[in-house]
Amino acid sequence: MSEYINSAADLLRIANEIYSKIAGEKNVAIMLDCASNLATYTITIKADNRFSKWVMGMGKNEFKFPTSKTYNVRVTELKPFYGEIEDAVTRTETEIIVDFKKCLSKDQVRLQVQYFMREGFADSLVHWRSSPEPLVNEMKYELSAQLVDPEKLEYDEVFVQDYPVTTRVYVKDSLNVKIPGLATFKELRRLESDMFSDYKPGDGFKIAGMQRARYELREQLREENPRELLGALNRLLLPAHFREYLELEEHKDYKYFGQHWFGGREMPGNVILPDEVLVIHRTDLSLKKKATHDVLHYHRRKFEDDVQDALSKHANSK
Amino acid sequence: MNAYDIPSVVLEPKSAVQNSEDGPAKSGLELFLSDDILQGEKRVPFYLLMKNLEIRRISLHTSRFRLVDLYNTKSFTRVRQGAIIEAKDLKSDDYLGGVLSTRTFKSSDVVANLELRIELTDGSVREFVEKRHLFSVRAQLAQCPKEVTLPVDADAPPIKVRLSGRPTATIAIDRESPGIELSIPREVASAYQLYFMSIQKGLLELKEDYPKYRRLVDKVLDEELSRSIAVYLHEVQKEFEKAKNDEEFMQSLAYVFVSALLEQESLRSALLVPLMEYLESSAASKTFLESPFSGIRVPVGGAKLRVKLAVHDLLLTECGEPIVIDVDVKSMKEAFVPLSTLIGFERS
Repeated sequence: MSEYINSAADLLRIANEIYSKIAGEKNVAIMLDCASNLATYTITIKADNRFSKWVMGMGKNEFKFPTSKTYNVRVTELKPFYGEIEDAVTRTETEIIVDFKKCLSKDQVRLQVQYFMREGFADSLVHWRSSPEPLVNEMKYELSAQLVDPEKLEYDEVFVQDYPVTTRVYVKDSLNVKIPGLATFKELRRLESDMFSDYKPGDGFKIAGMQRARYELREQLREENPRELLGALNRLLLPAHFREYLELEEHKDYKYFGQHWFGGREMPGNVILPDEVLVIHRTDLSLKKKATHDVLHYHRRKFEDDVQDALSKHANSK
Repeated sequence: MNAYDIPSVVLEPKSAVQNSEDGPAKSGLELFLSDDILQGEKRVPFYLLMKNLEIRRISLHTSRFRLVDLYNTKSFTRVRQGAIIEAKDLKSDDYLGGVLSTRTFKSSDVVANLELRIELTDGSVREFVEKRHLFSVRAQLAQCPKEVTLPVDADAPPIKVRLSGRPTATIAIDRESPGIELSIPREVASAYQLYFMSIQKGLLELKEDYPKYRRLVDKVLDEELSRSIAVYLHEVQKEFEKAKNDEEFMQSLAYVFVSALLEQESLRSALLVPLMEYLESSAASKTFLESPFSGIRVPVGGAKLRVKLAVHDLLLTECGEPIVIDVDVKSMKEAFVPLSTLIGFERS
């Protein structure tokens, strides 16, 4: 089973251990991949005398990583030629072992270690915001993300890749439409509840009358078929379709990633219609780009027009 | 142009402020402050990007915002409603980030400012003034007779509440002593009950399979599904947030709800009862009732209706003081009256 590292600060402690072990001139970078929850710690080493001495004095299988915490380890030659040194890394069921002796003939090498990270591990590094709802202009949501305190990480390079920025697109107001059949259904529920709750002996005749009314209401409901319209509304809200109502202004720093439904009834299987569609975009931050922003346009009118179209199509088919 | 699109005031010729994208050789400043802010928001971000500029000092001043924190600084001096950051206090000279908080105001729409004064080593000064509206909703009782006689016309509720302000609002209505208890109509209650029984069965099984979440499950089972499916699920969700990292458990929990739906007396009710609640919760434009089926069962003669209305925005901040409604409801016969037929909402 994989052991996850909880935060970038925990990772820093582990990375510092590796850093202090390796002798020689080196610089370090960290890449935090928020889409796959992997952190790649990269240490670039100048294979100088100090490094050679250290490697020669090292025992066999001394430099190793447990597979429970580590997803992958790679050693790459940077100078004089570029290419992965595949035989420098061996893998067993429980360990990944690095043999630096294979690097002795090179000038510059790079060690990359990828760790499993717990979801949300980068949250303390990034402050993001999306408009809670569009208030200034009903079609625009503002998205932004920025590094909280990049320098405290002490790396020469920090890349936070694919950090999620979630926008709550509130759709409930647009779905406040008259769904045919609901009034009938309400009447039916009232009748059924009366039939089953207040039964007294001698009510047989009354119940028979109610039974007939119930039959008629059920027939009417079948005719009105609210499920069909509900299906049509649901289809408008499916991510592949709803995406048509969303558009980024600049497309520069933000990438569309996906959506899911959210509402008071957000338990899976219980969503009939959502209160909100959560739209996820992803952005990259680094020491060179410490902050990003963009504007998400929501074509609300078009969505509402399509809802009305679905309603009138349903009415015409009856 | 929309009246709310306040342009950022740049107190210098526009050409002098260059965007940081203009190329590596050029210098520039870019200030960003979030928009669409709700009153009571605690973490509104802003940032200043500086490119190839020799900064001497940055002075920051706010009105109606409160400075919570600054990023990328070793230290800074707090002054009244702001801060002064010397160049040596910046950890790197290209970025200053920060967080502002807001509070609630009497009015549903106030303007707040963030002012930045950037002094460069060559003696020149650049200034930014960013203005933002802080929005909220306010409710007030527009009409409230002392006495209401049943039956009432469902399309013309005798009590009227007027909401002002732009944000979406949800309204929670709770009983106040000595008013009559709130309840939900029998036909909805019976559908809820069936649903709750299936959830209970599933949750009890879940408790056996995951003994470490026993206490969480017990807490959820304690709740009574008497107000609305939405409120109940919200409470459940909140409890289970604590276990959300256990994917297997969360998946099993989701199946409990799916099977609760499938076990309903008919799939029709399973589908339509929550839908009815969804649609009936809409009280006016951008205004939703937390428990749309809530009502009172009035005995022969009448009863006292005394309820408290609390308004929340989408970030669950309470907007303004709650409204108390106190009315005598007279009736010749026993009747159930939904609150939505007694209290109407309108937005101005």
